[in-house]
Amino acid sequence: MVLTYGTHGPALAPSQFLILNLILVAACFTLLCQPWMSKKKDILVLVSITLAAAASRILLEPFPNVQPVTLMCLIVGASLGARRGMAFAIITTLLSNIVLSHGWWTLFQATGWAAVAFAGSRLSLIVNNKLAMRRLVIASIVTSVLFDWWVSLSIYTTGMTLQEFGIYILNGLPFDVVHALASVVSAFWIAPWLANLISEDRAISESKHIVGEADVITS
Amino acid sequence: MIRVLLSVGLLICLFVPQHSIADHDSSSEQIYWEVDLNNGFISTKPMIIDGSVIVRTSDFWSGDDRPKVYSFDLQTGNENWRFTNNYSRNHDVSPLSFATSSSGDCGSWGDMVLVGWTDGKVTALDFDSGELIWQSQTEVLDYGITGKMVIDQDQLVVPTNKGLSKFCLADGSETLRVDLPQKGWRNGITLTDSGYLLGNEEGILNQVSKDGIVTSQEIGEGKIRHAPLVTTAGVLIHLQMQSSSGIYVDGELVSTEGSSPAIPLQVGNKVYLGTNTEVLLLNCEQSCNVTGRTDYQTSGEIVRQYIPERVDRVWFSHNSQDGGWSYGTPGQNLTLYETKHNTFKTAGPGFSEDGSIAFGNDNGILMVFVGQISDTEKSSQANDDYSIDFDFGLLLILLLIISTFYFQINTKENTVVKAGLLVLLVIAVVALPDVSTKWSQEVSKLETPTGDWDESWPDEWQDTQVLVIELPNETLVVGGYSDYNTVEELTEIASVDLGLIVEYETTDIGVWITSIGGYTGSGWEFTIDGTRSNVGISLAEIDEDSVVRWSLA
Repeated sequence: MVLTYGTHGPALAPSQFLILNLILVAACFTLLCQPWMSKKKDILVLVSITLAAAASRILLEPFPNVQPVTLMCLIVGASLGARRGMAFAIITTLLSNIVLSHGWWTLFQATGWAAVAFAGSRLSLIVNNKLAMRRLVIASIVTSVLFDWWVSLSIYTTGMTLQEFGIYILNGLPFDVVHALASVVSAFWIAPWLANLISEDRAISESKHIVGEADVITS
Repeated sequence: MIRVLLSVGLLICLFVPQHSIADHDSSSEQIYWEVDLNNGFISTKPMIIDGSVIVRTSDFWSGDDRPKVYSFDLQTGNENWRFTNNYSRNHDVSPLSFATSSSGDCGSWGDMVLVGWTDGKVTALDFDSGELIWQSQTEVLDYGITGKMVIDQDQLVVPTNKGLSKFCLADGSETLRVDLPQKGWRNGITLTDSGYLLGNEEGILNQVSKDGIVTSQEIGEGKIRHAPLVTTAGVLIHLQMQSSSGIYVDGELVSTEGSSPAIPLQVGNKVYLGTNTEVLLLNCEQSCNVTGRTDYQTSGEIVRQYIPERVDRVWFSHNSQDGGWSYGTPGQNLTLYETKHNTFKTAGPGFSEDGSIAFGNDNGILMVFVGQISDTEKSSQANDDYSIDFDFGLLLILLLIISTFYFQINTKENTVVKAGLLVLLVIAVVALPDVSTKWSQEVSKLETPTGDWDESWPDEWQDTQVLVIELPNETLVVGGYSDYNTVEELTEIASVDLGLIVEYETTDIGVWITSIGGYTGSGWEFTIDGTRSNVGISLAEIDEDSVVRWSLA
């Protein structure tokens, strides 16, 4: 497909790039402003996971459509909520595309993964601090395929007919399967560890807060 | 701990290069060097002569870049010299020739590298310094010189775009010029006792006597793109036809074979041939009979490596994105010789008497093994259509399967699931290129061509191949073509007729067009009969009445 279509949508002028970047950065800013993240450790964890996700995209770039970021979006959305999950998705996309190439498709990737993170926050993937593994696997398969189709829309703007777009989607099915499979593998290998990392950090932060209040009472 | 070990194993196996050159280096004391010429394709075999490797590059040229001839030191890989032709702009696919120092009726000469160019020039370069000794001009209609030249005593015989010319080796003065009615492409010349043989794009075999008298014979509807072979059974031609090829001996069809024939090789009464589906061995004593065939994909030069009492091998380039070069005898399994850069290629390897080998590929990378190659090099059976040549991937799969069984026995169900999933993912990634290509070909059958014929076009273009190029300010159309098999072939030829420079880029996943007529935009897209193709230009097949339309994305 790369050879045939050779493009991911319209080429953007510098001013259009600026607007695209502003929109995405502003979205991140808005999403991270509320609720106010006062704890430095929260911010540190989110930044670390974001950098790791961006690095994983770059490192795994040689392997077509192996994208653990989809699963990470689900987990971060489920653990930290919709706003931080979506911000995580957008920043990860922007950072990794600095290396992998930035363009019209960045908008679709960022919004696609943000939607995945939003879905993660609403699907009760973590119940009582435990991963609902079956639900997570199903969610990762469905969101991986939907994400691919959403990103494919970036080339629809170049004047394809609906039938041609259908053929394009059909052509990409083997890649969708790999993406879904990679997400399932990530669900088993990464998700428990990632969810624990975030929940442990939150637990530590919360318990420190309680200790502080107790000190005030006793004094 | 187990998870960590398996993860590390996965990463190591996936990140190690698929075809490690270190395998060769460690199995022998060979010297290996390579150089990325960053200068188009290497389409013809390098020469190894007197401690130097001589190689040329080819492409459709634009901007400041132009084709070059390079000389490298065989032992060190250091560049000795390079020669640039600033006027040749099309694919330079005429093989290099070498003339040893000698003398004749028209004078004497030193060791020279002889080069034919698509701008019609013939240049003689000093072997040691690369300096121009002489150059002569032949007539140019489209492509200039693209076929194999031969040395006839003190004369250099050159296949031109539309005929044949002879030049004195000593000073380049023209001693004979023959114009023929048909154009030629890769129309190499064969030297016979009575004169010269050469074919052309209209399937005509011309016999030219040494004083220029021409007799012609129509072989068939197709193209002769190699130097004819003179066997005891007759003159053999491997004719390129629409979607197939024909082997003719003295004008009689012997066998119909696959498309895109390679440049055949004759060794005594044996003739080695190739197509995009197989390689063949013919025995031509009384008559020519196919005595062996092996499934294989080759479309370039077939060459022989011969060192008396040591090596006698016939090599075939594997013209696919992941193939190497193979040697062997058709009818038996070929031995695949893998290199570090296994991409598309049509150039045969170059050899020296000490066993050194020089490989050049379509990415312009020259790879040289100095000294005798080891017989223990990594090999595989070349007739496996779907062989997975991802050895590290296979190793990983094997390890993971064993691990899965181990964990199963030890009832570690969770780890079994994890390991099993990893196996599935690795298999999926390894198989993806082949699966997606096959899948795309099946999907393309769902599409019904909408047709792209324009009533304003000349009637004589009906039922012929037509190329349309939509430039930003005008639309160029040219038609009347036939016998081209793929979008790449038609575009390459028709764009030259339109006077447009087309720039290609060859990557590990295939060839694609980066600019047409200097326009790059966001890339170029094509349709066949109004329908987008699901495969790249090299794989997109066209019919005899197809309309190929290029437009900016």
